[in-house]
Amino acid sequence: MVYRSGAVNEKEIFERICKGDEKALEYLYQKYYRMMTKLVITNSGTEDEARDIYQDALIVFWQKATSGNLILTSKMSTYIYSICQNLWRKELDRKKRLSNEEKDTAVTLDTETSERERILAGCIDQLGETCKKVLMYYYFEEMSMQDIAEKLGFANTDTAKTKKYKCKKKLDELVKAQYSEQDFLD
Amino acid sequence: MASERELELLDDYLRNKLGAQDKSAFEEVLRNDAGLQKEMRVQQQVVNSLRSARVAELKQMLNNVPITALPAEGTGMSVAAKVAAWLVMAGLVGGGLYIYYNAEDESAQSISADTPALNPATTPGDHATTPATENIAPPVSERDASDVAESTQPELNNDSKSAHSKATDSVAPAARNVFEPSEETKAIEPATASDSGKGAAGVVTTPSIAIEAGINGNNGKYNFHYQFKDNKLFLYGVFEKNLYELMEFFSNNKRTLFLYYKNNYYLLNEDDNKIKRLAPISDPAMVRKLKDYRAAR
Repeated sequence: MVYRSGAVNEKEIFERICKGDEKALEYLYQKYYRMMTKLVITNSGTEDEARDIYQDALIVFWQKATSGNLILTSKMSTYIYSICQNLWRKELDRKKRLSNEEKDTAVTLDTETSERERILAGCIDQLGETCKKVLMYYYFEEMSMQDIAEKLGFANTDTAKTKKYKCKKKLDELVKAQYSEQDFLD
Repeated sequence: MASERELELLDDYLRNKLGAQDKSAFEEVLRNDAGLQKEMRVQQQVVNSLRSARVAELKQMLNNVPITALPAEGTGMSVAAKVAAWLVMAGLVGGGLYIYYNAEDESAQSISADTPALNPATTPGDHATTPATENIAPPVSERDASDVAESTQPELNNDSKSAHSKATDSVAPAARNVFEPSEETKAIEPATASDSGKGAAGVVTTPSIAIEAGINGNNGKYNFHYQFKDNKLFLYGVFEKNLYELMEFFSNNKRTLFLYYKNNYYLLNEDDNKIKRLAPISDPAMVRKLKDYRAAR
């Protein structure tokens, strides 16, 4: 008995990824989980670290693909694997450095920065779901207005542009109001 | 207070969308405008925060994806033991499937005994394929042979040859186009090249049948159905929304097809041209076997 398996092909999956199709991302995640996590696990990493590195690598790949900044000349797995390698090397270097440094100086908590981050996260949370999505797709995925309109079911790109403008304005107002209270604007 | 135009430029600047000339011009303006610098600092923080929130969201989404087969590393199994275990598993699953669907054929009993050893495959070539454009092929076709020839597994060649000449009872997973990034691995993990091919996720291979999916998606009568017609598999429903896989098992020149879709497995009956409803396989033992096969690709 011979077993073969066929599916939607690499090209189709990549095209879906470029369009910001999260189902395709989930599919890839599942498909390459073993291959990618093995790299970390067999190089003195834990399973949790392996999962973290793989997720980070996949998100780097996703961001590059959705932003239109990626022309794939190899298989997706090859590309993602190389990102995993780089990230894990960096992490190993970071761990090495940390172990060589004085523990006390290694962690200096910047309270102002963390307070800013808390405020910003709170402001983002106050936005409606659609607003959040529009802004995230625009600033993280760097998707085109056309793709954002299609993904969120807007009538056209002008609607997407207007929505983005209004949502960003709202977020800016929320942030600036909070920053003023905390004197973070100076 | 920055003008609308400046805010637009700032937006493009932070998204790295300005050309080299516009970028340096904007940086020049920025250098001489303390108000704009302040605005940029705020905007930078806002954008970074949006990006971090999105990364957290994506990670959360990935954490919720079920991982059916976790890596076997760390269990202390040797490479040889893992290969052997894999072969036993392949034999058992193959045998089970064979018995399940060919209960009358007693030759299935000897399936695993003749299984040739599976060498770790090294197929760095790109096997990206386009299933939707291919016509139905005999269970193991000429194309299968050429697919196999691309790999470095001699036993797979044997497998396809024997299938061409005469039906055999051998069980071997074929066309396991296992990606082995041995070149990349050398720098960080010299041992990997010898430790591959048993379970690493592979690339998608070409099914031997053309698939037309997502047709008649709005047809109320056939919204989750399939049909074999004109040497093609037609999937009725909104399949374009999710990814699907076709799993093929060949035995004695007979093909058994399963569809994997949204965590369910469906047996596809090729006996006639009728449109049939897709019903998920509920037998847990069968589902587990299919899951194992799929995970081991």
